[in-house]
Amino acid sequence: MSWLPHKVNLKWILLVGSLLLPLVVRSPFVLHVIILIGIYVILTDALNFVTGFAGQLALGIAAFVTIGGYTGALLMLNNDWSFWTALVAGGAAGFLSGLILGVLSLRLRGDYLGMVTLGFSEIVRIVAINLVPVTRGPMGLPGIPRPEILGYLFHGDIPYYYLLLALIIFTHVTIERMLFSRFGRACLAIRDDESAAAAMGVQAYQYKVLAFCISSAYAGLAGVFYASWTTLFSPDSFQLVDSIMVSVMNTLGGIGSLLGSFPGAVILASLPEIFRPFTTGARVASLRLALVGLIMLFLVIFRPQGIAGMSIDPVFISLEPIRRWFTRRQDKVDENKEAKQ
Amino acid sequence: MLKITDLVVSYGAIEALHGISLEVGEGEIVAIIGSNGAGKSTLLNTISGLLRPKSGTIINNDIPLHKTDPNKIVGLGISQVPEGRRIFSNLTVRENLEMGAILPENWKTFDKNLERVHKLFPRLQERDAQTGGTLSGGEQQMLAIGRALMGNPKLLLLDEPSLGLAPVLVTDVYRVIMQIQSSGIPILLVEQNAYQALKVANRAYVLETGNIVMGDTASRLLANDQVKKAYLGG
Repeated sequence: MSWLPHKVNLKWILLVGSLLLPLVVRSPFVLHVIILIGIYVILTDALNFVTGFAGQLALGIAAFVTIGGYTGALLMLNNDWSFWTALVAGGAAGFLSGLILGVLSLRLRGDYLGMVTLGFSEIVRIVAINLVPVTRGPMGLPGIPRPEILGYLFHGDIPYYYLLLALIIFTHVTIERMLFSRFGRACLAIRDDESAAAAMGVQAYQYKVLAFCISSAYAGLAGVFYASWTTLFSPDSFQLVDSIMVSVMNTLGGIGSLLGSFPGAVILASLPEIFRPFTTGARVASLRLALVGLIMLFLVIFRPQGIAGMSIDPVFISLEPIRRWFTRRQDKVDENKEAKQ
Repeated sequence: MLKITDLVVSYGAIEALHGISLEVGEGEIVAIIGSNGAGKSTLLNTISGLLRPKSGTIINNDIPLHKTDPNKIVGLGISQVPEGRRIFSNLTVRENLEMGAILPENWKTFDKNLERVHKLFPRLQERDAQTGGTLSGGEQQMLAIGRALMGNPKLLLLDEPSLGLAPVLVTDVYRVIMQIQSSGIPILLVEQNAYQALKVANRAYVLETGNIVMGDTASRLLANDQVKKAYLGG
């Protein structure tokens, strides 16, 4: 039994599970929903970086998805950039717009910052609608090319699923590395007590801006992915309600947790799809909002810290029951041998 | 060492310090005593760079601090233990200590300083993985002092280290303060508990509504009738 460890880190289980998922899931509709959930996982992680770790209330993440999505889509359509360079450009666009907004607004704290980011998100949407010569306005940009790698052109959802998985892994690994660095520590300290952090020598304002930029860069990446996956990007692709949903997912999963984005995004993004057979059309949207309200109500009563709490420690799953089961079987085999002799 | 000349600090239109001058010499403990609102914390926050003086100078080892940013001042080796401890309650004890060494130059000496802090406060080693908020008041004060020591201080600023502590813990904290002094780090101590402060200090100043009204050796202030009457309970 020495080959089986006593416990295993939850993230390895998640990784193996998500690698095998398309082999189990046969329905294209379900896979489609899963990809949508994956995009929300990235966005929740991005928001969690600035809200959960650096403690800054940001409510306009859709703005950076839109900026990243348009940047990537326009570069692919007008300048014949490949998906991969456009992906990097989308992330860079998110970072830069985060820098501009962050420098201007991160001197504000709490609710005021939330309002500015919310306002910015609406400005971006209105600009996208009215800048018709560039964005084609409400009609959106159709025909966004698909990624190509070593001569293989993506088609169907399965390659997109694995591309998204790679992006999620990239997001998680980089966030984890940053969190346990000097920069991450400083962010956590700013969240706890900004003045005390400043007394320790942390340049709080600069660190907050940087955390905001990094969060926006992830959102930009997600935007380019979404644009290529749906091959259409319009001002309606990501709006205010999506920003709110990401905030709610973050709250449900656990603000300041490392793995909370998974339960948060999975539960809230899949529920409306589960209930879809029972309702039709516009009712899905209203049902979704009602459900969100109900879930949040139960959350604040029974588990206000969210599903994963504020933990950044690795989660281990005990393998003892499996070990015991194997040992029992082994004992039986031994007994049989003895009986034969 | 530290030399402050004619320091004026104001919050908007209200002046909190009206031009005070003081000195902290090599290896000294200097105490500032005074009642609530005398400007004691204002003074420390100005030295740390968290507040900007209106006029006057703060010179530490020939380097002017009054125009320097807080992170650079920490880098020069001036660590503050803020009033009310201000530890990071959601971070563990170790993470709190890491915060004290957050500047790149101090990050490198983390292990060496951690050992020193653990020797000074064995309790912090036992509580290593506990979050700061779950510590008792005395332990939090130890953590706040330990955190400041992680920044390789060449001058330690202590703001009300006895605030809200049981008398037996106050004695403990002061014993450590004297240990820190004997390792060669000068200390500027701000305290309402005048008797405790004067007992350990070499020299002391009395601060009254933004003015220094007295400055002398601690033993002479302890014997001074006016000080006795105003701060030592008769």
